[in-house]
Amino acid sequence: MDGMDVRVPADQVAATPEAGADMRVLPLILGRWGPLGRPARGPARRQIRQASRVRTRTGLIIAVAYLVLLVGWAIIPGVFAGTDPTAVNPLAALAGPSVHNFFGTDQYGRSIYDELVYGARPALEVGVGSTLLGGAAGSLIGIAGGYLGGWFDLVVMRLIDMLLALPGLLLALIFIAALPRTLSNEIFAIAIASVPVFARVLRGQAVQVRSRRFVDAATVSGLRRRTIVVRHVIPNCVAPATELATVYVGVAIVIAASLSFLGLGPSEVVPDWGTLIQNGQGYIDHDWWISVFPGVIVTLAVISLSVLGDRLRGALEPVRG
Amino acid sequence: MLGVVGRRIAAGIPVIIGVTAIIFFVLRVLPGNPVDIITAGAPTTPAERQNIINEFGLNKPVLAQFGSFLWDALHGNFGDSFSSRLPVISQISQQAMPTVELAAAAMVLTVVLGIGLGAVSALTYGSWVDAAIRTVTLLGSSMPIILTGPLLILLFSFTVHLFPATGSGSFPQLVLPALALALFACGVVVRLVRGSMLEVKNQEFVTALRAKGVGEARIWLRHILRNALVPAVTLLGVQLGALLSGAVVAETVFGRQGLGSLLVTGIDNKDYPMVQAIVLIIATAYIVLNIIVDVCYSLLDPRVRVQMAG
Repeated sequence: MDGMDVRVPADQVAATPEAGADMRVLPLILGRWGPLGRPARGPARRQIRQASRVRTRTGLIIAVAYLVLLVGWAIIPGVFAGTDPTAVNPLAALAGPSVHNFFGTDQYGRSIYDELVYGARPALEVGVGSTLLGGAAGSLIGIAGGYLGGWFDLVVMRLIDMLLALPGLLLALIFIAALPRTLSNEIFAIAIASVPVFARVLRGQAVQVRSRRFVDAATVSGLRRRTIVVRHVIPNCVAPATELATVYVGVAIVIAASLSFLGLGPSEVVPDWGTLIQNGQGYIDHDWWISVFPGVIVTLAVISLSVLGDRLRGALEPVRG
Repeated sequence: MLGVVGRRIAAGIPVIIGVTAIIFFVLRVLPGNPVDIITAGAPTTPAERQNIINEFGLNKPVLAQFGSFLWDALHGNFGDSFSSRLPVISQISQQAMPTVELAAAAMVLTVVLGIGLGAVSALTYGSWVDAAIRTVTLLGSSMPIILTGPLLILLFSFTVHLFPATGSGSFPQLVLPALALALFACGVVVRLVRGSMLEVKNQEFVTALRAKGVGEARIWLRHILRNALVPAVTLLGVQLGALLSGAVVAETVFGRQGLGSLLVTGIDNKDYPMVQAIVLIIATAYIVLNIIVDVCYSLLDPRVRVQMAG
């Protein structure tokens, strides 16, 4: 029987588990909590966590270097690329990757590399913006529910379960449908989609922290609840929240790119990574670089962020085990 | 057994109603006058506007609108499309099949790839096969469908002419989109199956089986794999959500017909009845499939069955 900790008692298998959580955050939820939000214990927990990590120092260095490069693209694109990513040059249309155009050109002769560099800013704005917004809201809801318990926890978590019944992209799509297509609305929509994920994970963490001895000690020593939350509960939630947030930036970037691909992205964003991939679809048979390079840039961002998230967690965990 | 199913369904109903409410109110509370959407901004007389308001029941209080929407939805009527003014359900039922096919094919592939590769990975633990499987699946689950799709098309449609790049209806057209979804979804399953098998492998009952003289093949298949499948099945339920929302994107990538493309068009046209019907149908399918997964789970693990009954 022992070692079957991954198994979940039947009554915990709700009709709507962590569902909807985007798959890239799943290892996090599962790694920490076991399937369906229960803490996995002992070897099971170790195993799941190890299964989802990439643990090499070189990996971390490459990941951080890549992310620094992306941030550089976002802040000072002019240094890395030409001044005008939208400049057309019909003579150079559909040129393959070369010394002049690392990633080739599109059908108007625009450099894919330049477009990618200039597309980094909106991509990171959506990724970081929606994660900060949704992550803060979701974490607060989760910590409040987990620490306070009682009817508040019950009601809020039922609501969160309902949100989780809508897979992430669909939840964002409802808001995209209802709002004008602007960058800030897209950030808002993706932030909403992240709220239930953060709430779930952070609630689990808060419940676990609450049952720790030092919280009991703080309670019996007469500290006020507010002090306990600020001094003990929240600091112990920082590590998982940071890890989840780091990984979620990648998820948000992918959702944003997918929305643009579907033609539902913000209209003012030019150039846009998702739109680039979409544009290249029609040329995939001969001029594969138009879609493939932007896709690779997005994928590398996702991988780098999950490598970084994993390491951040290890570094931030106040009490191990 | 019946009691288990009944309780799962009972737990699912409030969630479905809640989801319906979320979709319904989000689309109504946020700015935008439905009448302007229906008339597509064309100049209208006040009388025409009043007609539209009456036709779509927009004059009633929002709560009453929600009540009648819920009631009608129970009867399979999701209202009339803002753009075509025809019942949305007729369009949806025409387009549902390609999506169901895609989701089912992707699920089957995810199960086969996830469990198969996971088992192979565990059996070859530490070898290059294990490393290769882990690298490929990690890559697969990190790549968005909007990259996997074009890559698969490039490889299997234009480099090796195996499968058509786009379209829906025939089996060859189903292969690439299903594969794209499965590559995305199976990574986590592979890792979980591998991890669980390695864990079960070292348990005492396995040693006991060996001591008893049970063959290695039987131990791995009947005992280790079966025990490892329990957590994997739960995970598959979760992955369904990813498959369903991935299908929305995959349909556009592979130029397929289906609910996903219909949803995207609906959002583009601000066709709220269409959007809410499709999102609601997908969410309901997801909840129902999860109930089915729960039941499978109890079939797979007798201990859960005992707990459920008790």
